Amino acid sequence: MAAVAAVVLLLLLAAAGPGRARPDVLREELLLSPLPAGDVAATFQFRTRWDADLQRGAVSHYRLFPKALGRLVAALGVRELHLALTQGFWRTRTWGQPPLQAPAGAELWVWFQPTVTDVDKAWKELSNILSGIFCASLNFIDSTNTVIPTASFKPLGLGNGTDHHLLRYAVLPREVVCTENLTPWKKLLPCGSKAGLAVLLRAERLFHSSYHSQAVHIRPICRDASCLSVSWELRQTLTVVFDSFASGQGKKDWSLFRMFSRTLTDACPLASQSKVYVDISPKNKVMLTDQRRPPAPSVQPLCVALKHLTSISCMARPPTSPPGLMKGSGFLPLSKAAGMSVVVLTALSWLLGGKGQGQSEGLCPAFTVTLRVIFIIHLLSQEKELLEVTPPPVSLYEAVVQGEKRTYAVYDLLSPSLFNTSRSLNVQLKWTRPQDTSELPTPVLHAHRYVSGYGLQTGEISTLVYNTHPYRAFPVILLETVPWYLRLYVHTLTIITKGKENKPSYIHYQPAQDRRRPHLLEMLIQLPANSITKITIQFERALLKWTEYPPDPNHGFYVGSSVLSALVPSIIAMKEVDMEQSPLFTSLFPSSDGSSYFVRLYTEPLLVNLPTPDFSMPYNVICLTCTVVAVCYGSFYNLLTRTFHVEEPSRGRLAKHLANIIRKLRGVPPL
Amino acid sequence: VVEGLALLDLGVSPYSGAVFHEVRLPSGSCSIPLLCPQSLCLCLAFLQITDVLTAVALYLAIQDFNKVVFKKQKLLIELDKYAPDVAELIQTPMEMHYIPLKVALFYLLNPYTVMSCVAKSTCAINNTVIAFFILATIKGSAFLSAVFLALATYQSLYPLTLFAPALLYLLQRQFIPVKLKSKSFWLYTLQYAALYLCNLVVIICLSFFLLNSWDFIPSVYGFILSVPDLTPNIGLFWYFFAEMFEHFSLFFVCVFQINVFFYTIPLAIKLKEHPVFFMFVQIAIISIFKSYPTVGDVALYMAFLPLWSHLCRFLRNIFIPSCMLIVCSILFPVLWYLWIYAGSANSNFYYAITLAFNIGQIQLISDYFYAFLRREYYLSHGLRLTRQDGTEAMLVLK
Repeated sequence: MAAVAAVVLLLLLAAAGPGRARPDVLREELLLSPLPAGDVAATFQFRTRWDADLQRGAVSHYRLFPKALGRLVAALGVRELHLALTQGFWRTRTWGQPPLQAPAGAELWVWFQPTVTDVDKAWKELSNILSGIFCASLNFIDSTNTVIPTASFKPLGLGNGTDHHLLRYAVLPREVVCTENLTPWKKLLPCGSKAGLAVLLRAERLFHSSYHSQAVHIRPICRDASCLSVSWELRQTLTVVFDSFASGQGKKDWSLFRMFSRTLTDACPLASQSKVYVDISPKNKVMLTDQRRPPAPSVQPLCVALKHLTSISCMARPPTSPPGLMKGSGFLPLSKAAGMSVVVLTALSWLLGGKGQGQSEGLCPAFTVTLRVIFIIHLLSQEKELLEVTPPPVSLYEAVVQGEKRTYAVYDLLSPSLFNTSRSLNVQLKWTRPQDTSELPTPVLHAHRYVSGYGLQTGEISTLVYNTHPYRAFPVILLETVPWYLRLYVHTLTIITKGKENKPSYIHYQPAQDRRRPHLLEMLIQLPANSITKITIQFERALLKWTEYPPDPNHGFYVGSSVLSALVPSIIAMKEVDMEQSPLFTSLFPSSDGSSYFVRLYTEPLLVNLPTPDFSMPYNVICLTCTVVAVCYGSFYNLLTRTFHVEEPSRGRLAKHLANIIRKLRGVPPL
Repeated sequence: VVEGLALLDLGVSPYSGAVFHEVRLPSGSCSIPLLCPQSLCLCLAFLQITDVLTAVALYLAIQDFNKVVFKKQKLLIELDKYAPDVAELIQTPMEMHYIPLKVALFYLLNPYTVMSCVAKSTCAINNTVIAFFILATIKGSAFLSAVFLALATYQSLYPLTLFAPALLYLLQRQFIPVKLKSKSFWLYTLQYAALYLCNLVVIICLSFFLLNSWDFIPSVYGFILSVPDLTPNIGLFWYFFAEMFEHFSLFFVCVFQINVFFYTIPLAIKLKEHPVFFMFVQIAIISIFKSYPTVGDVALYMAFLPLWSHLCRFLRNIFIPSCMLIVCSILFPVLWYLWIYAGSANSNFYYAITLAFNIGQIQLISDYFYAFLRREYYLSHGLRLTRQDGTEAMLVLK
């Protein structure tokens, strides 16, 4: 009996074995970050990782990984798929660098397997299927808006094949994203919107926002460190920006309930990780690092304070520059400062090196270092007081994200202690003091694009690319896709940095073909430190056939965002992090070393007016033009076929008879 | 003003030689695009030189043609082919002396020429080639004529129709009668056609070897024939095909393109004795009905008008077409501005002007044609026409 039981047990284990060998893992994360301008960005990320090889075709049983996408990947030989549907525009300049940016409208880029023979056909089929899955008009992707970028898009997952003929990229800037796109997206989640973080995804709140972007990324990744076998990763991300300032009656405080009109009650039971992160990193960090405007400490009050502490007299001179950082805040208890000074001294003595000398030179030489320490502690204390999060976070997490040090308050929905006190989690954030809004940090790289010129004949597309890094230059790849009906003139392309011409080190231009393919312009431009680069190119507007205009043609035509890809040097040295373990904010993009991080930016889409024909005129135009041709034909036919003759008298005999009859009636002599 | 402008500008771009579909001039075959980016002035100077060359070529051609006309007249008078009372119709050397100069000046000082030169249209180059073709034909050099005709055809396809008048002229010069049964006629025709085709093939192969691909054939000739670019110009095609129903489009493209080539054979039959007038009518028809006409084309055929100044007394309604042309030329920029820049008019306004302009041109040409035929009739039948009963008669077309 025992033997039989053992055999059964063994069989059970054997049956369970393969099941465990390829487990699916779901992690859900929500990142809430207050943006500098007073808005709140909420980024959801649902990561499904599946340790199975989809391409082999051996997969028949789907658990967490959505079957629709899995079958698609297997059938069409997709190596990587990135789809983003976005409503609104991420304002990089005021909101900072997004975790994952997407252009307005729909964006789709796909790497196919090298085994795919007819990439264009697979691409067409794929966009049609995706159009069905996501209820989006992706079926409008055809050869007129598809390009093959050579440098801007690299595979993000495994496999470093860079044969760009396997890549297809398309943007539909006109696409309007709404509820019907969100619902199928939510259905791909293992828990749907029934449990976990996804309960917050209520359409009526999500689309009542300044920015909404939902994305699906599928890519192959290494199963483990040795990277001998492949796992597939599906990331579903959703970013939404709420204007909490406007909706909160002028207050920038927010809570989960106010934003989503829901609170969190539990984690998704299928998820192995379910966390909420709140960005509580100090907002004035840029001032600490911005070396163009070194903080000018007010020497006098510090000296006075020191006098109290150490009883050494000090002749302080009034500060030469305004005390920007000290205003409105009191002093720390100096005893606390003295206690922490040793620690902070070693870490941060570089910071003010040489900068504060002007004020303290020769006056308090002995205390320069101490002054700095006190000043730093002062700053830190200021930061801590800025905001207050309730309920108190379980733990804090520090990370370097996009070259900046960030602190996050973490709520783990899977830990039982969280729901002990209250049944639901409603994260709230209060600003204890009003933020200093005049000092908005500007991101190192941002861009701005506009169309200029007047009239409907010609125009100019200008792109301004800002590098605000104080001392480092870096290259940036600019990808510009312009529809064929704007005829670009490449010889008018000018790139000007600081008043001088900036020659791109790589340029790839593929001219458009009417009704077949768009213009593609890719350039590698070196951005000098602390500079603005202006890229302009002129175009001519074409007149289209009347059937080619969309409804409401005078609204204009959208030109998709241009894409900027760059390795931006970070200000803070990044330490190597374990990609797999670290959450959301180590995004899709791999970083090669710690000194720089990858950024992909999208500029504004453009709206360009084209000359329009009169849509009510087709019959009239056909008639009138044909008449003109007929006039020519008629008169030439006349001259060619007839010959000159002398007028014969017989002509008009009938008329003469008639005239004579009338004349007879009138009593006038006949002709 | 609407032009086939920016052709040269496109040629400037380093990539255009490869696949740019708008390069109606395959840049491999000419060094002009390489010359032009240097400066605007250089480009303008170059176009001015081409214009002056055109004018010189026209001057020489017409000078020669006048001599031929004079000889022919003399011959016919001696042969008593003319009616007795047509002395006032015969051109005198005094009248003909200034005609070449007038033609050249008419070309150079024509506002259309100036406009197309300022707009940097490649039309000037096309005109130069055609002018040289005319010169070579009138001088009687079959080889050079074939070369320039091949060049012109290679540039814009439509000058293909000028083959017929050139052949007629050369036949006339060789005193070969145009008879379908005569052997020498066919021999000479084949000879000239072979010359022309060889030249064309050589030029096309040359540009193939320069570009190393056949891409330019669809991108140049396909572009001319299928009219994909609907940018407004002075022609009839753009708005017609912008407003055309999709499924009729192909049919009308065929009809409109055939229309350009259609007049050649009937004209050749009717005007086989007068190949230069035939050439003039054919150039005018091309410039009216080609798919992307520019004002430069109009300037070329208008330069010939002084040559036919002796037809003036037979023109029926020269006043109306000339008023139409002048008014339309003034209204073109006005309505263009109103539509494109001010936004207070729409495309129909500009379209109406193109219609009127083209009707004006058609009237002008058919009027000259009429006058020419009438003068020929008077020359052979005498100026005083009488009926059977002795009263003065009217002349009618029947």
